Amino acid sequence: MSAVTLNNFSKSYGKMSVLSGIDLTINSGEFIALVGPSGCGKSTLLRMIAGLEEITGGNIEIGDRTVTDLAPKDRNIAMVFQSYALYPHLSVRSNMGFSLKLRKVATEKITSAINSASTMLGLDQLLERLPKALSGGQRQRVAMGRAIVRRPDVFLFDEPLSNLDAKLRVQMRSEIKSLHQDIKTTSIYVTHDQIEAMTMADRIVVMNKGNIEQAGAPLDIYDRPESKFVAGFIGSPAMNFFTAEYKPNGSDGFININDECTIPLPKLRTLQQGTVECGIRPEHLSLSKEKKTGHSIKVTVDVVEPTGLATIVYLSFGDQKICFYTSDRPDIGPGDTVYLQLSENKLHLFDVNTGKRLN
Amino acid sequence: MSSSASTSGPVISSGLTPPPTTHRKRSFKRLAEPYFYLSPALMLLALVMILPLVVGLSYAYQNIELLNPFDRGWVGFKHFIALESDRVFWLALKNTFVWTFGSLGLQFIFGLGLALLLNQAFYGRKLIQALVLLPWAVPTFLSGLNWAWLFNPVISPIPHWLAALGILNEPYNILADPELAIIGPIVANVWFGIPFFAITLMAGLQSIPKDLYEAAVIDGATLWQQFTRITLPLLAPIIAITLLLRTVWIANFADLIVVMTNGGPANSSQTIASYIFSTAYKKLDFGYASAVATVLLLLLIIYAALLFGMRKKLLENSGN
Repeated sequence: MSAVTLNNFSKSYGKMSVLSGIDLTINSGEFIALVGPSGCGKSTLLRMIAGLEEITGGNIEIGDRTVTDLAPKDRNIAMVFQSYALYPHLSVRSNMGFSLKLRKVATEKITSAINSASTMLGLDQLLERLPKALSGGQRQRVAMGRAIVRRPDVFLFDEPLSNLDAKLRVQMRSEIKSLHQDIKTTSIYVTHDQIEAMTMADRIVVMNKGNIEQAGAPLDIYDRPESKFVAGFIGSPAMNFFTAEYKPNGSDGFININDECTIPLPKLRTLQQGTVECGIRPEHLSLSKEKKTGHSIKVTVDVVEPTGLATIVYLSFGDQKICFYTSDRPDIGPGDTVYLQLSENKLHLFDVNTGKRLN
Repeated sequence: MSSSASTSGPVISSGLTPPPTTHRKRSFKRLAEPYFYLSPALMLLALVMILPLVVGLSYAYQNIELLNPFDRGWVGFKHFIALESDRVFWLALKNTFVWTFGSLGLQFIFGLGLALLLNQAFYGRKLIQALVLLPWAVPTFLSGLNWAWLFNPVISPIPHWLAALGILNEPYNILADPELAIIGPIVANVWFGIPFFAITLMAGLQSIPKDLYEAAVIDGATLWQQFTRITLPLLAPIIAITLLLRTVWIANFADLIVVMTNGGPANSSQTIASYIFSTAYKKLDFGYASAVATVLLLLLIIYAALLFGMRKKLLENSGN
């Protein structure tokens, strides 16, 4: 178990900068998820930590060693690939023992390491099989087994679940999480799936365009996104955004969404008055058939999606689309006119230009 | 075809539904159908492959000398018995092994080396890949003449260089040396055959996922270990099949020898293939040439059977 520290970590291909000045400390035993849209640099960052990708600037420490210039094998890390990267010509046992064999570990030690890992992962019956004779989930487990037998300082996961079907993905998600709770090895997990990040990680690092947008505990990020990007990326169905006018009113302020709807708000930190980007999560809205006092917006129902567990309703007012999420089963249909209420203490306000949080 | 269909068709008997005769008719139709579709190809194959092969094999048991047209007819195993005491045949057999495995081994080693180099990313790689194929595109007749000249000390510096390096005592034409003559065509053949190995092995290399090498690097494999533990085992099936194909081609390949040494001096560089050629088209003794060809065919069939067995094992052990 070791902490990982990245100092001013950067990567560029020629003049094109992929990662710029990443500073991040991952505590010993922590499970951290790097999440972001494709092309945000999260995989590159992971591969740089692994040593598979050259580091253009900055340095990295694992435990108390600076490993910036060390080869991957000397960093004492293990990696689980998206494609699993199992050696197709070797049995499960040989796949798992490959690294120990290369390190000339005694045969008995290799056997016992393989056996304990395979018991932990439920692979005992499959040890003599070739990877081609395994299902996707089993291959995934072997890939993890191969990482575990090494007893590395850090586990690196590169989108390990994206080749699995939806059901298996949910199952493996909890298996990886419980495995981490057992062995408590520092883990860095790259995913583009924000649900995976939310459910598994102790801390989420949201990345965008080669920068860290926000790092924090999953629910902190969900409840207080520091930028419009994070607000829109984390959460499914995604947060609703619309523009409104913010005006001061004595010691407080208010926003005007349209002529009918005005919402009072506490004073903003940086903005006196002007256009702001409002965000509100679909579950922080409510619907009524009658106009209620206060801040109701008259909207039209476009589509109703019942999922059983919940109902997702797509609404519109003007050319603005709104998504509404409820665990009830509202008695409405397409074309109905209803009234939408916003919980004012759940409103997120962002700067229209920088996208930074205002309230 | 028809007999096997009528006797071994799947018999479905339920006792209630239509009488068995219709079943038999239907199953015959079903069994014959693929052969019907294949028949144009099969007939063509029979016409251009099987028929000439049978006729050619039958020559081995006949006297067919164009210079002696009145002494024709079946002679049984006479030619095969004559082979046993034919000094040139045994020399050619030995030369065939030297020629085949000498060329093959060097082509393979250099071809694999070249494939590994070309599989690296570097500027101008596409161009180099195309250029590498050139020797393969030059007509063998021309390459043979070229190489014959390159070994000629009157017009080529190569023998002089070899002498200067102390490899030769003096700059002379090795093609005229009974001890060394076979080396000339082997060198030409290696030059000619490297591209084939390089290109096929490169295709094989490119089919190995990059992830495996990254996983191996993290597992602690050195470059050499990556080569021996990942590249070679995953390339083995393709290596086996290219080696097999090339062996057969090289063993049958007489052009370079005929052009460069014509089997000489004094038959010293004769291989079975060039011996067949000169027996048939210079001595015009087709019967004897066919007997020699039959022996070569048998040897190649045995070799192919061995290698196919090996390949099957390799495929079973690999992930493909």
